[in-house]
Amino acid sequence: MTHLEVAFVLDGVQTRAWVEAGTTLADLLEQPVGCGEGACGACTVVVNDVPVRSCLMLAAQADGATVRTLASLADIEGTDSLPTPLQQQFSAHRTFQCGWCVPGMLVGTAAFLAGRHSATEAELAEHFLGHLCRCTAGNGTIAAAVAVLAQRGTRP
Amino acid sequence: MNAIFHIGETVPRPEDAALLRGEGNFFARRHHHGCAHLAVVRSPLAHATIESIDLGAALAMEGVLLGLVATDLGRNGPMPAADLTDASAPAFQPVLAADRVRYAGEPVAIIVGETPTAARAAAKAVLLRLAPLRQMRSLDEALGQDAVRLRAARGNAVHELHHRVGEPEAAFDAAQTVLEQRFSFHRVAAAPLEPRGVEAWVDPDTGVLRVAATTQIPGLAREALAALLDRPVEAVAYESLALGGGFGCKEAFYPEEVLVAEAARRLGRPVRWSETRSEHFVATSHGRQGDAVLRLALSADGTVTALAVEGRSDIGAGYNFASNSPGAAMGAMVRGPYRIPNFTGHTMSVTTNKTPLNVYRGAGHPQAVFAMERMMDAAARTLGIDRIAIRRRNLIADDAFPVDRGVSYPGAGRIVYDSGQYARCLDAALEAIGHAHFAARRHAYEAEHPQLRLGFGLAMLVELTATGPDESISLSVAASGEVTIGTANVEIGQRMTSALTQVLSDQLGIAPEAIVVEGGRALAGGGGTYASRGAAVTGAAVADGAAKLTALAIAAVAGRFGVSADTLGWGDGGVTGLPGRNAPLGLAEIAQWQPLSVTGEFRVPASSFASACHAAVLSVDVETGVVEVLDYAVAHDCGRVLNPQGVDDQIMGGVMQGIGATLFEEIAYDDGGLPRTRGYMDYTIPVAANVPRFHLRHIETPSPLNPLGMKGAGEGGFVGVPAALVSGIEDALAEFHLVLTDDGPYTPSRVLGLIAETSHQPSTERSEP
Repeated sequence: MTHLEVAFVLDGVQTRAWVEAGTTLADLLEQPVGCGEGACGACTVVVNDVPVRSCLMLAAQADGATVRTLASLADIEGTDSLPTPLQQQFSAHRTFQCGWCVPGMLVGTAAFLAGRHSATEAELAEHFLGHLCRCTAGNGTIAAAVAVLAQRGTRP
Repeated sequence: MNAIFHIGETVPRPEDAALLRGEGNFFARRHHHGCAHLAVVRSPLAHATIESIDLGAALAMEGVLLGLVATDLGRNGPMPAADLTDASAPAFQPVLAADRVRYAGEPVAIIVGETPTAARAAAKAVLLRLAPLRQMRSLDEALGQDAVRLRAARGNAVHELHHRVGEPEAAFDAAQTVLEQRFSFHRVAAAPLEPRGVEAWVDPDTGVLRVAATTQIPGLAREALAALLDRPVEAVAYESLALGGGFGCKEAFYPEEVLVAEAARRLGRPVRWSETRSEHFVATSHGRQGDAVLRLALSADGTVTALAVEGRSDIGAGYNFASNSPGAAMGAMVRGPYRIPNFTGHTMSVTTNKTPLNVYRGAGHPQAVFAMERMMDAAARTLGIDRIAIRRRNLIADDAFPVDRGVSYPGAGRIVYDSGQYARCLDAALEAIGHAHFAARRHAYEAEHPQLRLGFGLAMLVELTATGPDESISLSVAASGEVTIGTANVEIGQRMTSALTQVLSDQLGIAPEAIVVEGGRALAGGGGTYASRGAAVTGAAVADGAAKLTALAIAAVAGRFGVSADTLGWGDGGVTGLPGRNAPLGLAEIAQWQPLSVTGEFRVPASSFASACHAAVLSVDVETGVVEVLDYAVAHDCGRVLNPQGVDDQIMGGVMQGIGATLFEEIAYDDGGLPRTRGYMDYTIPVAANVPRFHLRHIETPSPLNPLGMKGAGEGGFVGVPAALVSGIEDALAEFHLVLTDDGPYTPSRVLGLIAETSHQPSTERSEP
């Protein structure tokens, strides 16, 4: 079996890995995989500032990239506080129950909100089409994102 | 000291912090390094004779460790079923198909390799020679004169139940009006985000076979696996710590659990299988599919004097763990909150060439409620009575409890409604949805949006919850005073941890921070998570454990200090009344010299019956066919409410799944009987944009069957939805005179088709000479 060496920055740490050819980035990073076809969003990570479904990306394609996962959530959100504003609002709005889909949903939503100070409800609804949750259907997620943006708006 | 969690209060969710950091104890995050990986070879055909299975090429591939077919297994099933009668046919599944495959996706062989890629590649190299057989794709084909018998010599009707209450024939003879209607229910899937998985290894020191599996029923699965592997149950340990959703499809014992364990035993190393999503839609149980014919006898004032029901459930290619329960609910529970003194019911489970059916959130109640409530709407229309008035006329009165319904079914026992206030549920739901203002709202809305129609839908329900078997928990106190609750209940997102913590904090008067819940451990006397029983049944066992623990602590203090136990009491989290002590002696102090561990038990005297009224306001776009649910009200009575917001979360989650099933979701098979649904790309589950405004009300009628007065709350959110939404769609499209008799899915193209059919069809009155 062919193996490849992949070097990338993972959550701020220079990382090298030997992977079987064909290994997805999701499998290399041990992300939860809900569908393997990019539909559910559970495995979302940020590669070079772009949110990607890591189940649809080969690990080899991450060579030379900067990859951020849930461990970098504060960095993606541009905050120092932990839990981050998004984590706090996800909990306050009871957006999840079992929590299995939460890592990808947090990372994807943080990337979507990065640099924004506002978003329409329609834009947020469209964003959450790509993050499936079977427990709540994402009930509360739009309100949580709106609350995060509102906090930014009040910042000097 | 931190605040106590009291029963009846909304409390914080202690599980959130770890879940937000991605630290839930899910199957995907727990694995042995260096385990071997198993892939399942599945039948590509729905029905065929197996002529040969050739593993040769696969076993020769790099990184392949093992391959097995049915004849390699010591005991090839039967896979257990929990809801049979003595008269049920032995329609059991094997572990691996031996001579015939009966559904597309049925396991026929396994390959174990060093990596998942190696195992999957080799699985594709297994040569299957199959000779196709005629498929039984529907109930009618499976019950036809020339049907092929799938599992049982007697035919495809493998399990039947009969009910008779009162004098139904006489009531039908005397009826003013008799209505008859056939209803059908489509196939859906629970489709939790977390697929299934199993890992097994033999502990080299003890010889115990340890299994980690995504199961809701570790206690029952452990017994089943031990029996199939001819091991004493003590030599098998099961663990299912946290699930990424279950909803019933993981209330099952699957062939992969046996196969992974067998492979681990043979290889002497850990073996792991992780389901892919496309595998999930054929390998994990489906829900709902069937039909029912209802006949209703009415007097002129709208009193229902009798009901007859004939229900058929399409259970697929053999029994899953609880395949018969959904169909059984159509017989035993169909009368819901209505008196209906005369009743006859006949339900059957029918085998077909599809993935086996199992319980899914509500376990047959959504179909029973759909049929009954659609019948009530039809009766109202026929008699010219208001939809609400006809329901009110037939409701069981508050002073009638307990109400013996004169029926029973396996797994549920005798149906005796324990308590309820059905009229209050109805009133509360109507108030919550703003029914009094609906006509004005519709008028204004339709004037503003010419292509939209507003509809009002309603459904009432009674739901079997908190069933047996009996449940035990363990309580043990550490030297720090921390109390650990051990239970076979599984955390599946219902927040069992919060619920049991709240019960114990309330009962002992100790801080929630001092309580640890260890769920998902197979214990003697602990079943698992199903049938909306966690808070009520396991919560009652925790309360019993708390009483035993305080008694033990009091006895210990009495003995040590030489005082009479009668002079001591329990308060503020410790033993009170000791002379010379103002502060109570806490558990930490007592645990220094007295081991404190007890078993709490709850012997379930009978199931308890939750009730609800659902009401929906929805819009239908007659140009695009899009149905949008705007407002959704549920007035729910699950007895004493443990945690109001926790119950609301369960209700809203259930309603969302009901919206998905009614408007979007369908497990589809093509004309050749092969499954078309292979992923979320073709199985549309609801998202944030589909969430309506919720209006929830709690009615609390305590259950006399439970020391805490609680009933189940996990499934009722789903149960009323198909009936309420379809009632609302029919109401919105009143101008087209539709009579909707199936539970969906009402996709835009389907709705447009319904409108087109009625628009282009000349009405029968005019076309007849």
